[in-house]
Parts: sequence; C-alpha cells; structure tokens
Amino acid sequence: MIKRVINIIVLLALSLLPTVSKAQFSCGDTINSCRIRVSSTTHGVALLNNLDTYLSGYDYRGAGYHYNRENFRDAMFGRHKLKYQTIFSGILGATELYDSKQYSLMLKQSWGAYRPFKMGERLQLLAGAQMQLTGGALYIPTNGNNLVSAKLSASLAASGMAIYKIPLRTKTVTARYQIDIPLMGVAFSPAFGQSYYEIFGLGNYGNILHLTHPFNAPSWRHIVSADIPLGKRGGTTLRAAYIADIFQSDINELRTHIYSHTFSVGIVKTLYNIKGGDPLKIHSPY
Amino acid sequence: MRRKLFTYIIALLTLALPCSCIEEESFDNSITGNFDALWSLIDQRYCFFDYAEEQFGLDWNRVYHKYKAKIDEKTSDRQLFNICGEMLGELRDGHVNLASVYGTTYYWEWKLNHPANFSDSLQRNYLGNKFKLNNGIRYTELPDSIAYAYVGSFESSIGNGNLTALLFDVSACKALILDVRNNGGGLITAAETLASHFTDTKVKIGSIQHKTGTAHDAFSSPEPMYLSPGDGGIWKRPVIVLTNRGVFSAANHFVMMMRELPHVTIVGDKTGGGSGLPFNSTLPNGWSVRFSASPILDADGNQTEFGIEPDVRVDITSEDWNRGVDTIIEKAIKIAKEQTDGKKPVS
Repeated sequence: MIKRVINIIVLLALSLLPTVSKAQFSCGDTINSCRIRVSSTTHGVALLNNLDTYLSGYDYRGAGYHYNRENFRDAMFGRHKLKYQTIFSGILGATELYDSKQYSLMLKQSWGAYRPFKMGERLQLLAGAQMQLTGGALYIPTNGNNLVSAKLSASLAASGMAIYKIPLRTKTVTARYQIDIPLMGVAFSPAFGQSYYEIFGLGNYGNILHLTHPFNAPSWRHIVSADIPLGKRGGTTLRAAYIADIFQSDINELRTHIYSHTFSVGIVKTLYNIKGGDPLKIHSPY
Repeated sequence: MRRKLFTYIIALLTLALPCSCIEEESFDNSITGNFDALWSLIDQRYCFFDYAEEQFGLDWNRVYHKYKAKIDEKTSDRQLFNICGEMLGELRDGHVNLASVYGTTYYWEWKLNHPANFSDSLQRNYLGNKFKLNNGIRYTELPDSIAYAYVGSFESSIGNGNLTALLFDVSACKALILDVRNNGGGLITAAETLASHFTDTKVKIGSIQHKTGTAHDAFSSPEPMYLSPGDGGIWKRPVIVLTNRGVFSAANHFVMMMRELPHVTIVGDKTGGGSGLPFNSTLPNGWSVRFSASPILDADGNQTEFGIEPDVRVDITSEDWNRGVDTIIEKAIKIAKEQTDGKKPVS
C-alpha cells in the first residue's frame, strides 16, 4: 500500500520537472520517438458562464474565443518511459446580465508528465500530474472601485488520459479523453470587501495568497478530441475538440466560477527533430 | 502494472468526489426577488451600519419590512425602482445609488439641505478673465501676493509635472488659497497626488478598513494610511483650503489629508462627507447598485462619513452675495494675510 502511495507521489512530483532536456536521456525502445513532437493549435467558440461575487452576485452568460496550443512528446526519466504534454489556452469572452456587460480574459499554461500503460493494440491509458498556472481577469466597465477581479493561481494537478486508435478504412483516427484535477496550490484573492486600491495602492499585501485544494477551489478540465487524417496520404491531420474548463473558488466568502465549454477545430502537426536521427522512422508519441 | 493503474484511477476519482459547483445564494428575477436581492446585498456588504445606527438610529431590518410592505408582484418595474431608491435613501449616504434604464437614484440631502456657500458668479470676481488652467485647475494671483486655485473635480488624474508647473507659476506668492468647494470627488489617487505636493515629510493621515465577511461588524483592523511627499515642487507656505457641503468623497478625503498638515487651515462650511470607498454590484435584473464598502477613518480613528468640520466656520452672507463678494474667499484672504504678516513676497 505504501509503495502504491509512493508511486502516486512520484508521478505527481514528475510534473515539477517538465522541461528536462532531451539530451540527458536515451529513449529505451525507440530513440526516434523522443524526437517527435505532436503540436496542435485549435481555435474555437466557448460558451461561458461567469460568476464572481467580488463584482456581482449573479451569473453572466455569453460566448468567447478560445485559443489552445498543445505539445506532446515522449521522453525518458531514468528507466521510466514518460510522455510530456504542455498546453497553453486562452479565452477572451464577452458575457452579460441583461444590460450589464462583463468581459473576461483567462489564460492557462500547464506542464504535464505521464506514465503510459498499454492496454492492447489500440488503447493506451496515461496517468500523471500537471503543474498549472492560471491568470486572468473579469471586468465590468460600469463598476467603480471593484471593476476588475484578477485571477492568479498555481496548482499541482492530477491528470489522466485515455487514447484510442480507431481504424477507419486506410486511416487511423486518434480519439482522446483527458481529465485534469488541481489538487493543491496557491491563489490570489482579496479579502471579502477589500479594494485593489488598498492592496496595490497602499501596499496592504497581507492575506492575499491562499492555499487551494478541491474543497475551496474544486476545478477541473475535460478534453475530448479526435485527430482525423485528411487527404489521400493523410499528410494533414484535423483536430476536433471539446474542452470543458471549470474554474471555481470559494475564498474569503468570495465565490467564483468560470465555466467554459469550447468546441474547437485546428491542425495537428507532427514535428521531428532531424539532428542526429532518421526522419523516416517517425513513431508518434500518441 | 494494471493494479497500479487502477490504484491511480481510484485515487483520481476519490479526489474528484469533493468537486461540486460553486454558486451564490440567488434571488429570482421577479419584483420581490430583486427587492430581496437589493436588501440582502446591502445587508451583507454595506460598511456603515453600526455608525448609522449610532448617528441616527438606522435599523436595517425595520427598513426591510417598511418597504417590503409597499411591493407585490403587481408592482411595475418603474415603481420598484422608485421604492428601492427610497429604501436606499434610509442609509443617508451619497455613495449609495441604484442605476437602471429609469435613471439613477441619489440621496442629496447631505448637500441640498445646507447653504450652497459657493457661486461661480462670485468666484468670477476673483478669478477674473486671465486665470490660468492646468490639469483642470484654474488659478490666478490675487492682490497682496496671495495665490488662488480652484480644484472643481478629481474625476481625472493629476500629473506631478502639472502640479510642479502650477506651483512654480505662483512661487512668488506668500500664501495659497486652495478652493475645493463643490468638488464632488472622483479618483482618490488624484486627491492624494494633489495633497502630496504640500508636505515634505511622510505624514499619517488616517486608516482604512475593509469588510472581512457578511456580518455588520466584520471588519479588518485599521491599516494606517500615509501621505508621502510628491515628485516635484512642494509648497510649504500657508495654505487655506476652502470647503462647503458640496465637498464629497475623494474631495472629503483630500480635506482629511490636508488638515493633518501644520501649515494648512480649513475655512468654510462642513464638508459633505462620503468617506466610504464605494463598490458596485448588480441585481438579478441587471440593475447596478453602488454602496460604501470600505470605511476610511481620520488620523484619530474617527469616521468622516458625515463630513469634516472646518477650522474656521464661515458662510457666505446674503449681504456679501448681493454685493458680489465671496465671504469665504474674503475670510481666507484675511487669514492668509495674518499668517504671512510681515513676510515679503518671494522674488
């Protein structure tokens, strides 16, 4: 049992080493796979539901533009074969409550490390951890001294993935489901009625950083995607994705939820680091 | 290997168990729902309940029943707006407003129940036609080497460079009359920038609190506020600040800061007050509500929500008004002369 717990902790800790140089490792069964990076960029429309009681006690609903960029590659960590993933996403939104308008910008960067588990020829499960940085702001132009609510948090998240290869005539569609759940971290929050003037104008910085956990900041992200090769030779791969990003917090009696449901499409590129390798032996990390 | 994976999956699902939706206590978008939402918002976030009870016996629960009895589901939106405006008036706070397509409700008694003590027609007799204008501040030199500057608003930020240039322009004067009458406020930082050009040392001018929860008495301990010397020119000669009941919010804050400086005399009528830093929120129907959220206390820890008494109390008399004389400016000139008696203008 202790060994299992240690295994989980090690997996979580691995996410703290997201940018380990490739040059430090030899890649066990296939050298070339460590040089492959699957990079995707998607653009989508996000349906938004924002609540921030620092600004208003009611839900603002609307839509926004969602940008998502993801990199995925193989790597070795000691004797363990791992997969690294980085995701940068940004949502620029406009929401409203009758005549009252609200604008939002939320950015998130995550670095993840995963241990893969092959479950037969087509299914692969990945378990790992992520380091997430989230920043942004909600803005109601008609408010006075509380016209902006800034969001800034860093957290360690558990993350899991299921990747399934679906043969479709001569091509293979790659379907993926991913879930990220922040477990602990720190977040910025003013006190219940504290103004930003008091914090940043007068320098009263005490009590603005708070520990977060699933009980005061239950957040998660689901990603469902399908990578579909296009054209006769399958040279171009289209990605269609649904991303549900649920950001929530209840700190200092200030409640926030930023729900986004995004439907997006984009292009997937498989990039190969030619230096020192054979570009013909491409082996996708998926 | 599979057992390890299942362990991880179970751990992940266990961690997901406490995950639930975070929502706020909501009121529906109906006549009574919006009324209750407004009352509850003020009940939880307004910052002067205890002080208002002490000053004029405000009982917010009694207010609820008084105005709730005036509405039902047949009440129109416009009627609701007016009734809510009347209810907010019970707080006697100029910082509390309700805004909708029907307009904005205001509580004006802090100003209109008192003498105006300001007339721009009278002021013209002193400013003349050749006054200078810098960053919204009108200024000129009066006889006997006394400078006069009128700051009618803090709605826009004030630049240190502008103030330095202004003070340089009047640097030959022995004293400065700084008129902030009818200044309804604006940016607290603009008021602080202006005040910072009248001190060469760091001075404690007050303290600020904020609410830490929804209870009426849930406040943080007061954090001291200081006025530091501004960048550029500093005026150390006598300053006479002119006030009336129209001095509100950031302008009230300006007077609160200036009266802590040893070379400053406050002359005129009591200020209008408005010492709470206002926040905004909304009702379920989208109406916008403004309310005092964060009290600012003076250097002795006293509230200035209902105004600051001047050092020298003066009203404009009817006789002077009819003669085109501003009694308050005349008194300020007299005080300036007394304070600079024997001193020669600086060349």
